[in-house]
Order: sequence, then structure tokens, then C-alpha cells
Amino acid sequence: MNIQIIAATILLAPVIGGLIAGIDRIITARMQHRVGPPLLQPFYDVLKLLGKENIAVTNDQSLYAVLYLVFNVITLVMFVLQMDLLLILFMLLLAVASLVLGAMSANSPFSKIGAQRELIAILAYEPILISSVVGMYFVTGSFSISRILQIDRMLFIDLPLLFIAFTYVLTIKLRKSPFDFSTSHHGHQELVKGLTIEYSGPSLAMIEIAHWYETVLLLLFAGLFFANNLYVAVAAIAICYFAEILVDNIAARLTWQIMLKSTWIPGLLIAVVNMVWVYIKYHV
Amino acid sequence: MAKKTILPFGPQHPVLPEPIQLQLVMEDEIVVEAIPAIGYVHRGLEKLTETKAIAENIFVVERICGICSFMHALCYCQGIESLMNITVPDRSRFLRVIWGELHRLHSHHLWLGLLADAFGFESLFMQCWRNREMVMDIMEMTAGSRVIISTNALGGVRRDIDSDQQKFILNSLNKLQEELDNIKRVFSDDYTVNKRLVDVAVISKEDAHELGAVGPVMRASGLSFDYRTTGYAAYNELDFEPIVEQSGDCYARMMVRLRECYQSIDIIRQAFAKLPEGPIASPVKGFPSGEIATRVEQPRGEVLYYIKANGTNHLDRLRVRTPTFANIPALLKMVKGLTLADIPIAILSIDPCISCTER
Amino acid sequence: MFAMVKNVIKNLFSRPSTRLFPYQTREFFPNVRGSIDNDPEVCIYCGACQMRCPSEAIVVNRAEKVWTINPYKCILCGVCAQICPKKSIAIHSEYVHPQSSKVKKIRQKKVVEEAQSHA
Ligand code: SF4
Ligand code: SF4
Repeated sequence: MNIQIIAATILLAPVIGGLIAGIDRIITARMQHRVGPPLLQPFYDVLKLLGKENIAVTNDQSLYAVLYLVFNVITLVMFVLQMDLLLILFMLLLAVASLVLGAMSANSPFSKIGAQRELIAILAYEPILISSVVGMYFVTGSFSISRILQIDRMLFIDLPLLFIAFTYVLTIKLRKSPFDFSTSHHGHQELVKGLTIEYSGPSLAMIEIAHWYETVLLLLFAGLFFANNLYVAVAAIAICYFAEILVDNIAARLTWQIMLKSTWIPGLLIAVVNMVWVYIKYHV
Repeated sequence: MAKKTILPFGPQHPVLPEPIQLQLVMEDEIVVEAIPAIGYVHRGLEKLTETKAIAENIFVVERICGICSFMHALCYCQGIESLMNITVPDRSRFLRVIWGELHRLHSHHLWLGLLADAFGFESLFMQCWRNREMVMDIMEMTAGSRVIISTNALGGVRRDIDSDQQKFILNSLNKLQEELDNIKRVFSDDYTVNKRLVDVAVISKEDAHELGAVGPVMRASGLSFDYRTTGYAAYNELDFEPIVEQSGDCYARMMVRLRECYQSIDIIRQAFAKLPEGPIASPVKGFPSGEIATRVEQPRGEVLYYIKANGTNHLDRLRVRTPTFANIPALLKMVKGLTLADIPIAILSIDPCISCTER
Repeated sequence: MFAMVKNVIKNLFSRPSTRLFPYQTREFFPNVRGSIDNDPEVCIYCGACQMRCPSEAIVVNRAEKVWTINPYKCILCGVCAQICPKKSIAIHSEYVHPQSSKVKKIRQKKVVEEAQSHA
């Protein structure tokens, strides 16, 4: 049974992730009054990249791309198998760490500065992710997803502020404006492509696929806040992602200083307020 | 003290439409020095003008810069015309103003889009460039091509604008003004945009004067100087004031250009209202001799032409000083002390046109 | 912050302003300078266009009555059409399409061709 679930996850997730990317690109194009690419364009892109020669600046660089993909797959599988949320966050961190290491190993000023910025981004979003998990723990008494799913209350009702903070950092994780400064989808920025600038061909394809897994994982995470009702969860995920696209199109790229300030001060503040509130509600 | 890294910014870089290299000496993300390297797109156009006939040179100087091609041709024609004492018919003086301001409009729209792109605001970039299409359509209709319109000729202009076309242009300009209101709100009020522009790359009034900045860069620092006020072409009969902002940062430079868009629309309307009837070109006989320096206000600032003619069909020397060249010292001053994230915006804020600079 | 929302939403629900190019083409304004052509029957092969062309794109062979233009050199300034004494040069509004080789456009007087083949 588990094997089947694992296989289904590994096979289906990139399809869903790619489709989301395709829809994203169409909606973005429409928001900019363009026709936009066909729905399957992300797949065409990746297929094309896979067919190219792999040019790596250093030997270990491609390895880090593989690791980034592998860790992302493992994280998603762990999520689907309803394992411990803290562990999942840790695995997610490992995935990002391998991306950063890959960028650092390339020895190019662009990718180095991109890597530094990614580290700062981790610094910004990680506290919020952890507080979301801790908040869920306060409500359900467990870090394990299987237990969280058994609760028949909607987590969102207890954790609305944490959900807002979570969607805020989702912008950072999905690399959308205003926080797309370590690497962006457009490559039109001071660091060119930042983190991923030295990747090409199959390695870049792997990073792209890994990003699809990551997108699916993050959206499932968002769905966890609405877990007891499937329809509400799907609707919430859709609204959430649409909001991300909208924000992407109405904001300029900010600097990491502003990102740190905005995630740590108001972001952590509402997260802590929410955590204290649910702690008092369920434990005092 | 942190270790210094040198970031090669350009010659090929997505935010740079044209090749220029700035080697940024960085401490962490702070730029301590910028070393420019130019010469990537030198095409030898000044030399070429010495081998072409005087009338053919119009097409050469138009290609110094695509975006302000009309103004280059205008400056050249005005120079030759005053060497030869040709009086240009009134109608063509007004038509020159109209095409000149259309060029300013599309140049500023292009720049606004590029600026939006530099701070990562893709949808705004698309919006600006879409609005620019309206101006491009006007060009295509009146002149037959979109950018290098080749309507200037010695002694006047080559094409006329009839009344149907006037109606179309005025309608388009009304629409354009509405769209401008839309993007102006975003550029001037949006929180994220303000965060990226206000107090970035400030250049003081004194510095701007000392370093010889021209055009919007200078006007954004509080110096009121616009070569159009000297009244070449038909500007002496039109009513406008140079647009000046005080703060000298990227926001001010953006506001100067944004407000100049409104000003250009207004000037075009005035010019149409006053457009006299009559011929569009006076006959040109013979060849010029002597030397002259002429100036014209381009979208990026003031351009200077030095022309030396010897009474034959070929020039002895043509020298062009373009506005970007004059603004590069100011740029090098601005980027010092900026963080890396602000560099593209600072570079764009002078509206660099590298092929102009190198010719 | 939300000044752009209005624009973006309006864009989302209106027809895109780009077009799917090879399938939908744009209507040009009249008088657009797209490409140059010559009518070999009207042309008198005087060579004036060759003299005045700023980019040296036209070559006129008077003896054999051949008029050749290199469309990749031509800058579409329109001078040739303006000065042609017989007004045999026409400016069409279609642009030169991308091609895989730089072909020159050759216009030759038919009568001459026949005369040559009879000889
Ligand atoms: S100027 Fe006209 S008539 Fe003379 S060669 Fe050219 S096309 Fe023919
Ligand atoms: S349009 Fe201008 S460049 Fe082209 S062939 Fe005619 S004269 Fe030469």
C-alpha cells in the first residue's frame, strides 16, 4: 500500500506541479494583457532542457542539483505518508541547503550573492514555518500529520493569523515578486538568474522539477489549515495561489532588508499572538 | 573590513538593453567603486558621415540612436540649414515639433517600462510598453515606419500630416493620457515602487552642475534648464515650462520623465492648434561651408552637434556629443555606496543610450 | 500598494492585446514603408536610384537592363522612390519576411531577355 502511495506521489506530483506552473504562466500573461504560453509549456521547457548537454562549472554542482531534487521528493513523500511535520520542515531545509551549496560551489559572483540572499530568505521564512507547525501542535497536541488530520475542527479557525503569516512567506518560498531576489522566474534582475545562473541543461531541468515538487508540498501545507473539508481545502489552495500570482503582478521586487523586517516584526508578531492565543485556549 | 569582490556588471546583462560594462567593486552588497568600460558598440558613424553626401547624412545620424532618431536628424538639419541660411517653412517647423514630442513620448514610455523591469515589476513594464504602442502607431501612420521615421529633410520635412491623421493622433493622445493617469498612480504611490526609488542614488544640485549632467538627470536635481526654452523649431511659439524636481533621487528622475510625458502631449495639442497652412519644405541649392555647433533637447538631455563643412557635398567633420555621455560621470558618482539591488535602477535612471554614446 | 490591482484585474478580464503572430497578422497603415520593388517594364535603367541610395543597396546594370536591390542593405528610407524619374519604384507595406539566405531581388526587362535568347 505504502509503495503504491509513494509511487503515485513521485509520478503525479511533477505533473500537478507542472500544470500549476502552466496555469500560473497563463494567468500572469493575461494579467499583463498577453496571450501567454500554452498550458503545457513548462513541460516542453523541461523536456528541452533535458535534451541538452550538461555544462557544469564544477564537478559537484550537478550533484547538488540532484540532491535538491531528491530531498524535495523525499519531503513530499514524507508529507503524503503523513509523517512528522518538524521532520518535514527539516528535510525541506536540507533541500534548500543543497541548492545554496550548489550555487556557492559554482564560484561565480552572481550565484554567490544569490546564495547569500537565499540564506537570508531562509532566515526570514523559517521562523514562520516553524511557528505554524508549533501552532498546529498547540491545537492538536501532535506534530504528526496523521494525528492532525484526525481532528475534526478546521485548523484555520484557530490559526487565522498564522495562516496569513504562512501565505506571506509562501511568496518567498515560491520566489514571486516582491521577494524574488535570490533567483527569479524572469531573469531580469541585478543578479541575472542569481542562484541558478550557473546551471544549464539537465541540471536546470532537475531544479525546475524539484521546484514543482516544492510547489505541491507548500500548497498541501497550506491545505492542512483546512484539512477536515476537502472542498474548502482545494478552494483555499486555489485562492491562495491566485493571490500569490496577483501579488506577483502588483509589486516591485523589494530588497532583503525590507523582507527581513517585514517577516520578523509584523510576521512573527501575529504568529506569536496566534500561538499564545491557542496555547491559552487549549492548555491553560 | 569585508573582502572586496568585483562584479562584472555587463556588457551583457538583462537590465542593460545595450552593452556597457561597469566593474563594480563590492564590499558585501555595497558598491565602493564603479569602473566603466565603454566601446562595445562603436560603429564609426562620425567617420562615415565624411564619406556620404550631405543629404544622405540625415539617414546616418538618425541611426546614431534609434529612440531619439528624429532629434538627431533635426539637430543635423538645423545645423546645415543655418550654415546655408535656409528659412524653413512655418508648417514644417511645427511638424518637427510634433514628431519630436512624439519621439520624446515613446522614449519616455520605453524608459518607464525598462525602469519597472529593473525593479522587477513585470506587469507594469508590459503596461508601459503597451501604451507606447499607441505612439508607435501614430508614427507608423504619419511617417511610414515606427522608430526611425526619416521625415526630416534639409529645408523642411518629407511628409505632411493631414486632418484625418490629426484627428486620429488627438484621439490616441486622449487615450494615452488616460492610460498615463493609470500608470502614474502606480509609479508615484505604490508602496513597493516608492521603497525602491525614493532616496536611491541621490545627486545633489551642486554635483549635477559640476559633473555636467544634462536633461532629466539635471532637472531632477533642481536645475531648471531645458534647451527647448531657447525656442528652436517652433518651440518659441508654444507655451511650456521646464519640468523640475528637487530631490535628485531616482524617484525625482522618474517623476520628471513622467511629467514630461504629459507635457509632450500638451505641446503636441498646442502645435496642432497652431499648425499653419503652407509648404512643408523649402528648396535647397548648393552646399554649406563654415562651421557651426547646434544643440537640441533630446529625451535624455541635450545633444550637441559640431559640423564643419567646406562647400562641397561632403563634410569635413561631424562631431556629436550625446546626452548619455554627459551623464556618465554623474552615474559613477551615484552608484558609490549603493547596495547591489539598487544598481540597475541607478544605471537606468540616467536613461543610458550606449550606442548614442559610442556612435 | 494596490494601485496596480485595478489595471491587472482589468487586463485579466479583457482580450489580450498581443496576437498569435503567424495566424493573426496586423493590418498595416497605408503608406508604411515595408519593402521596395521596381516595375522592370516602366524603369528606364537610368541609374538615378543607385546614385542617390544612401545605403548603396541598388545596383543598376544599364547595358543589360537589370535592376537589383539587396533588401538586407536597404534601410527603407524611400529616397529612391522619391527621385525616380519614371516613378517605377513602389514601396509596399509588407515587410521582407525572414529568410534563410540573403537573396537579392532582381528585376529585368522581359523584352531584353527574349531578344537575347533569339540572338
Ligand atoms: S531611378 Fe527609376 S527609372 Fe531610373 S533606374 Fe532607378 S528605378 Fe529605374
Ligand atoms: S529605400 Fe532608400 S535604402 Fe532602400 S533602396 Fe531606396 S534609396 Fe536605397
